[in-house]
Amino acid sequence: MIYYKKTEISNAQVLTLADTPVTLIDAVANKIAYCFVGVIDVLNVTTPYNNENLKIAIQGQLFYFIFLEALKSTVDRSVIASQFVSINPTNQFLVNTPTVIYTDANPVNGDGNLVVHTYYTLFEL
Amino acid sequence: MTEYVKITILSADVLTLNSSPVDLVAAPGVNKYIVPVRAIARIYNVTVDYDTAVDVYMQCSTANKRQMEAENILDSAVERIIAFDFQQPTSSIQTILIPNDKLVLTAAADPTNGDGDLDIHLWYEVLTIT
Repeated sequence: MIYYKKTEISNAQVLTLADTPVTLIDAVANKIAYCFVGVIDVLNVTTPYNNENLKIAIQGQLFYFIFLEALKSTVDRSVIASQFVSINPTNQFLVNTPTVIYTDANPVNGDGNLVVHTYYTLFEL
Repeated sequence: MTEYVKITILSADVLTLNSSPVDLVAAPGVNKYIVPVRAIARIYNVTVDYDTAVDVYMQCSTANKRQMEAENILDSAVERIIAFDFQQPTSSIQTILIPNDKLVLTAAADPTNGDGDLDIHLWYEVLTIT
């Protein structure tokens, strides 16, 4: 079964995405959440953020989706994620762990807000 | 409609992945193609990492180009779960989608040493093209 989840992220939350990642999918006991598709609407932009890439990951693991230059948007637009490949010895998936979106450093400037659309499945090991 | 299948490959079969590829999805029938959507690989029960051919990939059994690859998954001495990556043709003579052909998991050569078991979680579509 494929699930859909929509998450709204305010400008204030975007500015602290490195310090405080936003949960997209809650932890589910004994299951792994795996996003098939990730789309982000960047809305209400008058000033772009700096170039921090948005990443989707199982909390604490290596990210597997990345949105390149999404926060550099100078106009309202929608962008789709690219897959990121794991290299040894990194791990990407864990059971019973939330899925989050984050940046490596807090974005600066910028005033847009985000709507994140995730299509995902749940599976057991 | 997206189908899901989980295949467990024990270490003995991992060691022969090139000489004896493992069937993931049976041939779907005339004018039908298996199209992987997403896939995850998990290596576990591992104490020694494999050598030689540590990438595994899935492809139609008679194709000459892989569809998805889990890079370095066998180069793991600890349990690890990673996503497969899609592959693209790199020459004009490569074939990827073969009608009515099974989908297999294989490697560029038979891995050596190593003792981990491998689970493949695969989501795929069967498309009819006439």
